[in-house]
Amino acid sequence: MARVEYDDVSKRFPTQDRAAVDHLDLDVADGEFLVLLGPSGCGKTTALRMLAGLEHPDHGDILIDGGSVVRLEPKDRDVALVFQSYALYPHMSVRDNIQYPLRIRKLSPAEQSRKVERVADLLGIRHLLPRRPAQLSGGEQQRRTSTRSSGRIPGRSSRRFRSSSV
Amino acid sequence: MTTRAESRAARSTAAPRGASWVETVAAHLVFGVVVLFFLVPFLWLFTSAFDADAVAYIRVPAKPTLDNFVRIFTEHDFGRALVNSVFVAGSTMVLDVVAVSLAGYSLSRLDLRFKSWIMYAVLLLQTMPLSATMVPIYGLARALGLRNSYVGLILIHAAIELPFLIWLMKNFFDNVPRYLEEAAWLDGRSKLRALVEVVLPVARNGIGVVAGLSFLAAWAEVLMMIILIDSQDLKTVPLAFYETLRTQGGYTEVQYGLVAAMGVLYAVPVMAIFLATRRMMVRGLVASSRGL
Repeated sequence: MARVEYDDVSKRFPTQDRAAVDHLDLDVADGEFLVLLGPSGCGKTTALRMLAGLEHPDHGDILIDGGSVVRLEPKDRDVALVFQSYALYPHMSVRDNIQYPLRIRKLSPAEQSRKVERVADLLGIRHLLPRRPAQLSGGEQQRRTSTRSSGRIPGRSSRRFRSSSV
Repeated sequence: MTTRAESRAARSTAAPRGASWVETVAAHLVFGVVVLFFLVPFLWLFTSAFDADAVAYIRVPAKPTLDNFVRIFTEHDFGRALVNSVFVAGSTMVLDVVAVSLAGYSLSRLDLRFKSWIMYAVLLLQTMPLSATMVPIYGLARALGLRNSYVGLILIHAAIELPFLIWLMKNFFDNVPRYLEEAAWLDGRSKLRALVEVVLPVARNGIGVVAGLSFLAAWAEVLMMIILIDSQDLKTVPLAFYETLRTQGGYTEVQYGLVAAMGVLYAVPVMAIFLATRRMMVRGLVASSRGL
């Protein structure tokens, strides 16, 4: 986990006349579990996406552990995001889906398999590993989605947090 | 017991009455005529190719022979023409797939203020007939030293098809949800690799259509070929057809047998490709029409 700060962050989409996020100041402590609640369209998802690097704030700064991440690409920010729509790669098996971030981090094939199996056991989806996302039920897909971020923790000193929009 | 209003409503929303047998027969007749219309030239093609004294109408060869096929390879260097055509069309296909993937992806994902203007401009470019642009293209090719070279042929063919294919691919990419590549970015992939590993596989029907169309366009292209090459080494199949014209004593004679033989060998790869990619192309073309 890590400490997150939003410092006077604003974002307005070109097609809208009202700001999606308007001068947001937010401090989230290390290990804190925070829930953003609000009516649809109030900027919850946009704020999370800016943290992940999928949107760029017009104004203000976002800091993780005291360091500004605004200039970093999503892949360099070490943030895990659980998508509302599951975001499973449809052309890969469940095993490959889970393995994808591990592969990018260049773990050895043995390491990768070990982690995949451990996470699959944790969530009880071991039997689903060879299947494609299209063959899974909704609940199974959800479990698989949360493994994406889980698969990345153990053994690495990476900062990881989950942002999930419901 | 149902009221009058209810039964009327039920009748209007009921499934349409099945076609009468007259309609079915009539429909099949029309289809039959259309199919025949398209198949007849192939009938001529396949009968005349094996006929030593082929003529311009369909008739069963008196003495079926493979002589035509032999002659086109020995006398008219058809082998080279075939290889050239395959090489040029194949390279055009590869170049187009790469260029169109990048351009289509950018147009789909980037938030540009004048995006719709750009899209319409791209589409407008496609409406330019080749006969209007062939003179400037020739001048350009000559200035750049692209005449009589594979590079020139491939580049120009790729460029001709580009506007429409970019527009097509952009629509395909629009149908791939963004969260897939975003998930890949968060997993740690660079944008280019995410495109290749995650987005393209999902859009592969579109790629199939682009590949098929660009290959076929280059395969069938005659006009640019005539303009750009006069070297024997580079000739492609459409040009080889012209060479079968035999001029003797002041009048030009068409050697139908040779033409038909070349035609058979020319058409067969196309049929093979279609059969192989049929499913992908149908899915792709249906999907693209839905997007319009």
